[in-house]
Amino acid sequence: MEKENLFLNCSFFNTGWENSLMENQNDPFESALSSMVCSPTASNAANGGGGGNFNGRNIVVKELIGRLGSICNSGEISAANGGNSADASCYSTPLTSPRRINSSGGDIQRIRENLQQIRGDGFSCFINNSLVTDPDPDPDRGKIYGSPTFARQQALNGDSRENSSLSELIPTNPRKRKASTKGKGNETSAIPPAKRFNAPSESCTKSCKTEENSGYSEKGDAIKVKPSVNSKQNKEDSKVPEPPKDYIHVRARRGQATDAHSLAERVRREKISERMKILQDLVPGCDKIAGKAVMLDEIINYVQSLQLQVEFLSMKLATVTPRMETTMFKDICQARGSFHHNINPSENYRIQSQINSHEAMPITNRMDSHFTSQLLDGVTTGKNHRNMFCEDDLHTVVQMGSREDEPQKFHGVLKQTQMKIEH
Amino acid sequence: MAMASHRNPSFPKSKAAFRFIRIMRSLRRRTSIFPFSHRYHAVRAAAYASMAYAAGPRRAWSRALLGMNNKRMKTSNSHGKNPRSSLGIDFEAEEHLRELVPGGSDMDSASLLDEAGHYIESLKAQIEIMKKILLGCSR
Repeated sequence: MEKENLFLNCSFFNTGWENSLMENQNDPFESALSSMVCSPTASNAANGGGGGNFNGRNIVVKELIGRLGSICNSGEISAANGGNSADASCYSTPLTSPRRINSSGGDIQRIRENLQQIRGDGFSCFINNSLVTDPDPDPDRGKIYGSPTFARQQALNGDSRENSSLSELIPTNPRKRKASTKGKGNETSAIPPAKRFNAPSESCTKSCKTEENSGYSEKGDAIKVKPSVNSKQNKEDSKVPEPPKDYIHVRARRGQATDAHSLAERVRREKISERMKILQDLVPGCDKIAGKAVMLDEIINYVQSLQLQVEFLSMKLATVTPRMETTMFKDICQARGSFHHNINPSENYRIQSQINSHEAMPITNRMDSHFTSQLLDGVTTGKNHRNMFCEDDLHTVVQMGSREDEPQKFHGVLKQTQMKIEH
Repeated sequence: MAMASHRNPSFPKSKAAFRFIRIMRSLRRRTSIFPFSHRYHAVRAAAYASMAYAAGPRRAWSRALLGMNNKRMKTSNSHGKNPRSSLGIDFEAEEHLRELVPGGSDMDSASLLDEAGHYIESLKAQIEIMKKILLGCSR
């Protein structure tokens, strides 16, 4: 594979990453991670030749750290939901399948250790290098640059504390998450090291951007969420109970507002995106389209085209109707019976009785009579809001005639209706 | 998807077909409607009515089509934040969709998408029915 070749060729990483990444490459998590590792290194090999290998390595490390969170998130959720987008929130409802990634549990453990190791190495690099002097025009990299100042502060305060806070993060996270699941949770004071973790990053003003903060908090979140998934981890002592199924639980992400409004907003957005996915299956040719706006336009076009089809078919039927006789009706019903799979004998009998009797409808209900009277009212008085003049229809036909879906049908019926109108 | 498969049997095509034929027969009885425009409008109204009838009173759009809004409690609006909360970025597209789907002006965005999906399904089924009728007639 080309990615593996790149990985082997680049000499940046000679830490334990190699061993951890070369095994089980078929795991999507691992392959995503390796590809993510290789791509920055490859790009750095292309760009950062003059800047020095050391700088490139810093960038790679920072990008790695920043992206690890998103990869972890997307990895576990994609494994659970079968390929969601990378911005999946930690959203758990009774509807979604339970997330159990026991197969990648050991890998995640290993990656976490490697992450700690890398951070140790990376921070030493940060200290030795005079960091933020690199005028990198890439906005993506610029985001990550927020981290070195924070990292430098932490490193100056002591790497051990940072590492310990990182490891402290993990066992205290179930407590935090339980608190957040109970109510629309605020950040409890149960994690003072976590607060310390966040505070310097928020205090570094100039280079820290909010995306970077969220990137960091995502990473913290990612590590935090894993205990819920892999309850078989030996690091965590408390097993997370399944959320109760009476109402929808939404995990509050770190770095985002946890008040009731934004949570409800997010729930709403998730519902809407769920329904958009369903609609994507309904509307033909919408599998590859990503995004709500284009999807909505497609849906609107499709509904309009379906409605126009109904109108043209009804026009056709209207031309045919005066020539219809009872034999025609019988033919129709028999043709109908051929394609109705779910006709049970009672209904069949009903058809025959209707055809043979030629009487008033044997089955009348209130809705039926209500409807027929309404229909006739609409027809005779024109009160029905769906009654449009035929000329308007033809105008819309001309406008829609330029669309791809079924132009020939439109033109054919257009000619027919024009002939009819001229009569 | 689970929801799509749940939705498919909820639109009985046979119901819509029978209803449509019944209406057409009643129209045929009243053969005084000679002008083409009247007939066309009648047939179209018949199509929509049979669609709505087959969908049942559970869906908001079918209720709106049958004009039964005043008589029944609307159950779908209970959990929306506002009755007209916007979808997202595309405001005009959403209004357009509200115009297209009958009864769409009273729904919030999530149920609007829901109703739109069901409406599309029933439109497809109705179109199939009418095509078969035409096939049968033209033979």
